[in-house]
Amino acid sequence: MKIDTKIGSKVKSFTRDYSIVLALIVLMIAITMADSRFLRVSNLMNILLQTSTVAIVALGQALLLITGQLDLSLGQNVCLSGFISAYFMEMLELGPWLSLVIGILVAMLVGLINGLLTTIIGIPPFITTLGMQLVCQGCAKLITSTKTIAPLDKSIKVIGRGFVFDTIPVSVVLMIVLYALMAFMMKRTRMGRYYYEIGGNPEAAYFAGINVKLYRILAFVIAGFFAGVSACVLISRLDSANIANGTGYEFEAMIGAVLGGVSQSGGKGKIFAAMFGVMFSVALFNGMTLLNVNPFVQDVFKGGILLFAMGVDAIRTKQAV
Amino acid sequence: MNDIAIQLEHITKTFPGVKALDDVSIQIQRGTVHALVGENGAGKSTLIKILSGIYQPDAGDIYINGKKKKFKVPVEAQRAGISVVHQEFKLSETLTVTENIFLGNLIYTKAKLVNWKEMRKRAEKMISDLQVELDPDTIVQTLSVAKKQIVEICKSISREASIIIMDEPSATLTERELEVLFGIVRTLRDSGYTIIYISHRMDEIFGLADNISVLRDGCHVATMPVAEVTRDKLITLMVGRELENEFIKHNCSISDEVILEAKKVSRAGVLQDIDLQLRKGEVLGIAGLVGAGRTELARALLGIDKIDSGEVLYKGQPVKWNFRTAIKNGLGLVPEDRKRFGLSLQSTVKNNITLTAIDKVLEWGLLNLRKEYKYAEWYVEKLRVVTPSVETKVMNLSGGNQQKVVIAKWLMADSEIMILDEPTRGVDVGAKRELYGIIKDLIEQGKTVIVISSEMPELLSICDRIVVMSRGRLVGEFAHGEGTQEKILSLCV
Repeated sequence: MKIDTKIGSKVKSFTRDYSIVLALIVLMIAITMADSRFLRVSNLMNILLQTSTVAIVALGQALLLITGQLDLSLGQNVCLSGFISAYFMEMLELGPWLSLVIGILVAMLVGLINGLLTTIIGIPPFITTLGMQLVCQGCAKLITSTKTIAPLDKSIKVIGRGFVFDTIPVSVVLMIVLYALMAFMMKRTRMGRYYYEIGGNPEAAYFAGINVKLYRILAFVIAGFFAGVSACVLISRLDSANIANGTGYEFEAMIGAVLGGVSQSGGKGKIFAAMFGVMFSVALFNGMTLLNVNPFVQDVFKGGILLFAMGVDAIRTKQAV
Repeated sequence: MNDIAIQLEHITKTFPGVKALDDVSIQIQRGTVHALVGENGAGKSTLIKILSGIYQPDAGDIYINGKKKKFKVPVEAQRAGISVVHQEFKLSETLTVTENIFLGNLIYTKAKLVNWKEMRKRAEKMISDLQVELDPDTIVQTLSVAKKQIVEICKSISREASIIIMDEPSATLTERELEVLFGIVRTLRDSGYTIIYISHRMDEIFGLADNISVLRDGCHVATMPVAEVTRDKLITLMVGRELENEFIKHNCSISDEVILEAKKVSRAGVLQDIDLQLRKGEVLGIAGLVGAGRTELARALLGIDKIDSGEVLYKGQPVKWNFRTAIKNGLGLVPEDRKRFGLSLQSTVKNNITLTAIDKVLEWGLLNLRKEYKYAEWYVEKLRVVTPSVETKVMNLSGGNQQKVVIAKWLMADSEIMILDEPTRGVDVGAKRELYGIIKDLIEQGKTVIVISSEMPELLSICDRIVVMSRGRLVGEFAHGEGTQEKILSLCV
């Protein structure tokens, strides 16, 4: 009897935390019924690939949301750090892998600046990262006068276009590994616990002796790291660094995280749910494209879904109080 | 029938899993002060929320002045003449007193313009009717808590309320401000207002109320004139059992070792030349009015605020620490505003308890969740926290139990010195006793405790020594048994 209720409550909490998975399945069935091309292997693979780059960015966005912050510069950070890597690789002919590392470091630097401006200076994250968005974009344009850098060194092809066992894309494996690491970090390390508690009540976290500022800055740096990693995957997949890379990623990452149940009010959210959230929105727009929905309508939808998800979260938060 | 202001009949309200009110029927006479008492979780807040239209009862009827009413939204309750002075004020800090009083209820001239002159005149009259001093042009931000409360009361009057509900109005007031509040309440009653007064403090209830209604576990236990009940009887009715009048001060001997010392500690505007020695194993009380610098002293000792001059010594060594190093060295703070500073309400009991000392459950850098669970359960049991499980969210606990969770947090952190800032505020009688018991246990385990409190009987009974603060200075000291409320109060002002 006792075991039964335990399993029952586990199932209950799973369906609560991962209701996005159910929604994803329903969505996939619905699109398939409308157009069976959706289920083709090539299309599904496409969805997974697209998911991987956004979902890696969503890791950072989810972490920031959990700590009660957000980063609107992540998309342009992906663009900038991709450019930096490509520039070092092709223009300065530095080693391709070293160039990628430099790109990631720049992305982390951008995160660090975001963190310092919000935490030490005290500009709200929304404004800080909105400004940083433009700064990143401007820097990326300055480097190359908006010219695309392509093709890139062959050796990095494996990240974006390689396969494990000739079937699973390397980038998808990378995404899952990063999610697993992050989920483990959030559940089983002190840092993860601190992040949830800081998001839940930053003042109480301070009075429990947690260095709230430090952890908040670190969250921005981690988010920058994931943006950098996503940039590596993206330029490798596209074999180019383009000014349009990463555009809108911050929003898609936020849609994914919030759809996955990460609360915008902080302190709540399961990491893996964010990945399914991203997958949901990628699948949705993939389906719309298949069904020849006007791309402008899709944009309206994209914004609408973000507002819808935020609205649901806000109502849920209100009820909890 | 005509002198009944409020008649509640068979009010029942159920929340998921809890019956907050169970068939409650109460009559409240017009022009009286009616005290509503009960332990935390007894259903007082729910009843107030039903009366003010925030909640709707599942069953039962409300009659206001003999007319049956159904409040779907708070505005309807306001229109029926019910107004609530909440514990947390709902004032616009940057506006003046007059503006706040008439906010949402402006008076207009014939030309439909805002009639400031008339409003200011009325505000002045209201304030003088209450026989208090308050300049209607002051910005609310600059007012003391007590004055803000007066603004709230004026707001109720301006809305032509005939029934004013005061939800623990005294919780944040000092003894002297209380006298003023009592005066106001009596004035209001004498001019025909009906006051529902919620409080945990026995002194007030007996000094102020005409009638008392007792709630317990959602049920209406009794309503009677205050003259027909004794203090002990009332407590028994509230908790439903006899509380033994145990000796709450510990019996341990205090060592001569000075564990924490302040030497000429000053901080511009709040603290001046504080010299204080805390001996290992004692309960030191800090008395004083709100704003006397008690919390500020604690913050200075803990390194939360920088001091301008003087020094703090810990175990004989001068320390220049910040709050985190203070914690690592064994200091702990149970803050005054526990919901804001002490707890993460949406977090579980377990996560709150283990947060400060999370390193204790680390193994090879990872959290041992089983061990963490056991720790939390152990403290829940030890402090008798009433909670369905350690995985329950703290926001679902009553005030007293929440306070125990905060204390558990510091117990787990092995704090040697615990500073408790207003530990029993908003905590019911039963839980209060338990908290005193916990303080006694702390001393018996060799810990040292500082209690900051505005409740003098509390300090007088549990402390080995009481120091009195006034305007940022230490102005007096009493050993246990030497002090009296009068002596302390005369030093405070």
